[in-house]
Amino acid sequence: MLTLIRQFTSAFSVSGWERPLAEQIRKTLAPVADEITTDPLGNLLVLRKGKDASRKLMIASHMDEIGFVVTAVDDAGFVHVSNVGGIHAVASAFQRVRFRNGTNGVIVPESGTKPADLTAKKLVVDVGASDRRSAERRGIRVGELCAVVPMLQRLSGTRYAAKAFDDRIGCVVSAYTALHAGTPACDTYFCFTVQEEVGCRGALPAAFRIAPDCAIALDVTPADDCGVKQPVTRLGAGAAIKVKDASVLCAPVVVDRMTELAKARKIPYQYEVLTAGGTDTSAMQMAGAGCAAGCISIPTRYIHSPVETVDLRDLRACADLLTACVEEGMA
Amino acid sequence: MEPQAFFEKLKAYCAVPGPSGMEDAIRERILADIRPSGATYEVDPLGNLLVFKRGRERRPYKLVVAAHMDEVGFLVTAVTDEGLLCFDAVGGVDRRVVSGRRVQFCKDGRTGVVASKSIHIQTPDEFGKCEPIADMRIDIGETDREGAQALVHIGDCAVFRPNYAEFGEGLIKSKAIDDRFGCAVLTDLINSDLAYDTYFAFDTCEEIGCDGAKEVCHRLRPDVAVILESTTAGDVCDAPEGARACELRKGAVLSHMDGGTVYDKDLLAFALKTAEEEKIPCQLKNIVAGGNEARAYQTGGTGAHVLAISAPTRYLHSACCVAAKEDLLAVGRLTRAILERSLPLC
Amino acid sequence: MERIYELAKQLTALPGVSGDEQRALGRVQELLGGYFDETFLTPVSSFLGIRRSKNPSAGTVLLDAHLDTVGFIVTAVCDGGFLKVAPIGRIAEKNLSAAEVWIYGEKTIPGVFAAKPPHLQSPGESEKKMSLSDFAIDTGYTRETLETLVRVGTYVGFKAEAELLNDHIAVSPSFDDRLCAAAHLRALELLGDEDVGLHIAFQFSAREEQGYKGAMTTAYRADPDMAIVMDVGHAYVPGAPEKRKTAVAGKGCLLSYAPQTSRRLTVWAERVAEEEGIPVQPIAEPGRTGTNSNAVQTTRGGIPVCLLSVPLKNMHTANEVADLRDARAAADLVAALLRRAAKEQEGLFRHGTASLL
Repeated sequence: MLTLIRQFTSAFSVSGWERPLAEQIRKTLAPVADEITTDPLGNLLVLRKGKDASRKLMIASHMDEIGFVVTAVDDAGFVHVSNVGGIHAVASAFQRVRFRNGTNGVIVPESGTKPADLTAKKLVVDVGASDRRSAERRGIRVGELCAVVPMLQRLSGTRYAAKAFDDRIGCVVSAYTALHAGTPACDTYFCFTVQEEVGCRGALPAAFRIAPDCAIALDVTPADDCGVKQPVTRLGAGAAIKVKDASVLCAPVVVDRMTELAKARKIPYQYEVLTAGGTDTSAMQMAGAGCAAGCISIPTRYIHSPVETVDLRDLRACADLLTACVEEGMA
Repeated sequence: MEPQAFFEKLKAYCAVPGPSGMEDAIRERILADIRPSGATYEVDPLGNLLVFKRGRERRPYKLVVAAHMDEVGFLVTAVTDEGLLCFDAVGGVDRRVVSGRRVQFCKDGRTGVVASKSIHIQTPDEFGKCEPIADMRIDIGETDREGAQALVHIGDCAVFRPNYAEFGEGLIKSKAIDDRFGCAVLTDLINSDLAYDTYFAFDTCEEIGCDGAKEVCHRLRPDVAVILESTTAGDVCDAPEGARACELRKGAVLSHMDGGTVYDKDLLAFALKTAEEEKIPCQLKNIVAGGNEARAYQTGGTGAHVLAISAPTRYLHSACCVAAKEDLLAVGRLTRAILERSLPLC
Repeated sequence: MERIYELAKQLTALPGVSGDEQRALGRVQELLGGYFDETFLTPVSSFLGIRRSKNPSAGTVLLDAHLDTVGFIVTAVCDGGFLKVAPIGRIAEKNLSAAEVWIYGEKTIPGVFAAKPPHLQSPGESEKKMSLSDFAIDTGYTRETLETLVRVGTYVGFKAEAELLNDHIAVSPSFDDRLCAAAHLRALELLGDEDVGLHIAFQFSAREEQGYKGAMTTAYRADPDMAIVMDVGHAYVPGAPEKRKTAVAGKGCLLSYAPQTSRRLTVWAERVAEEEGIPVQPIAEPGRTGTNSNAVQTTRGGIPVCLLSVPLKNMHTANEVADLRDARAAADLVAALLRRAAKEQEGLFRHGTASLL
């Protein structure tokens, strides 16, 4: 699993340009896939056939991460950017960033910005260019994307920090399950979706294409338990079975089935009721004639920062639970 | 079509009232223009007009070019005892472009005035402020409820008054350039010889959430959608450079990303290359804001590759949109050039 | 007792907080099964019933009302047997102190929203804005027992019964939207065995209060040619804006002119109402209607929708008040529209005709 974590967290995959990570995942899963499809948006759909070909399970984790898009390059060579997805301005300031073509830069607040006034709009990228032309020579033009430079750091014990664990870690759990689960109970589509961070746009057409009977999203959920009396989830306390977020009320049949499977396989679990946030779960629930949708959430601290932190034990619990869902079916 | 004829047609399209949900009149006008072309068409249950035109060759994928027929407008919500009309905007309209304007009712062409208290009787607190649209009233000259109700029904619609005119050097101004201009480009294409089989969609209800495009997308299931739109030009007096989104007289606007869509990178690169080869002026939108039907086409059904080609337009969604003729023509030429080619699809 | 009230009383007695509609579906099936030739329960917890015309190639009209109600969901089980909750749907905090609820845990138990005793309050506190996070639900259980009954994610709904205030005004929780479902069913009863030349589908749709997902997906499945969506609307109350005076309780059902409904059907419905002597009040809504209408209208290739509403006071509380005469007008209008649709809206029912696409 660590190998997958290293591989997936190092790929560039800002919303709208997920191709490098999609390639990586495609290569990883090719040996176990019965069929691999890429749709017009760039969603990667990997089918593992199951015992019951009349039912379909869709599993979705999103490949894209938050980042920045170039809106202008000024005469002094500074690169003006706009956020792609929900940027945490404080967490992004003074970070190293990298463009799609490999150009390096640093992202900083405009001169004179007071900490309290810092918003994503005040951030600019310095690529070391002395003027507009020199920036353009580095391939920086309107519409180019960049993201914080990949980082993966082991903290003590089983905990790791990285940027873009949201939602590479979901991709890892899904890919790991696709590789290691026994024969699925029914036809199972491991989907790696695009453009979640800009409004869950990828999962909708993917779900419409597949028309699953049941759908499970894998995404991160806040485990910011420092100084909070009732955190949404706790790090290290197991897979989080989502009941609700701001975008979706999960199907009770899915919540109950996951609970039953977790109990039977002695997998640590907790419930998640999140009053904010949205996930691909919502899009999958409402595509076409709809399906029973749920989500396994991975407790994560400091979401949308470059030091998102997870506990490997939770990842294992999530993978075990997903494996149970795949092998034993959701019905 | 000759530029002069094109702008004559645009003038006629802009004059037709057609707020979201009431596109019948503009659709009839468009139909009258394309019937002689021999293209097949269909009007769906909600009024979207879908057209198919045979080209010299087939395409291995389904391509649709789309523009929306509806414009922003107003809906009467109640009649007061004094014979004034309560109303609200259909689509995103800044309250400040409504106060003091004249409107035309769709049903009978009647004129109304968005009444406002004259400055002399405003309290100091009210100076310089614009009340919410829900607090504005339309005056149609009636003095009591019965009189007004005899003429206007709750649910009746109005739009800004038609006012198309040449403006300054090479510009035009009118209400509803968004998106009658796109409709005019589409009818031009339909009436011409095309290289490939192409679908065209004249959509309803864009201004209230791209509803028409959702329906069309489902019916048509295109692989590629090219959206023709008007987009906000921010090259107004005192606007800082770099925050203008796009500017008049700089050509067709291509979007890489806006509030609703991250555009297909391959198609965008192809459009830029085509413009360069054909020497058609174009510019990239330099802010990430707004949105158009691309969002509906990209995520509708099983999803599509999307490209938006826009005309830079000042004062969008107001009684006086201002656009440059050369930009409008550039959008038409670029669209045609792209339709002449075979697209690089991944 | 009026039949429509009888139906509404039965329906409002069912649970079904948004997200937890499944709990009501068994009983819905029992109560409604008899009205239809075919029934389905969908993966998004909605009920779909279809009454077939003898003509198999007839078009389909879809009737929609939503099954779900507003409520709460447990976010924490606390010491002393209290529960912290988050809202499901928009709920006014000011009505919650000492409100009674049902808690749908391992078994269904009653609860009471705790009210802060006066001596714990700071001066002037009663005038301050309230937030749901300041509230807790008292269950009367110890924490240990409560944890065996309730978990994070357990749903909570208002506990109250429907009753008549006089012969035509009634109060109940979940009149939004069970009263409208009652009106649709009443319309079917009014038709009796009459074959209107159309298949009639009825969806009792889930998740309206959370993104209209039940209506969207069930309408996709029903694949109708036109739809009549019914929901509650805000009845005028003193202090509301002037334009709301167009919706007065007791003066008939509301008929919405909106860019998100079909003008053709709305104009027709108003004419039908006039001809049949059914009181209706036209209203106009420029933006989102806040009902299932848009979700249904944009399903598949587009389904023309007519939106009717029953004026309601105190929406999203345990004391929703409605005038049953308005619900009856809605039922009469739905029945009349169903009788006349096949003939008068023939153009909409063209299923299976060739298409250029």
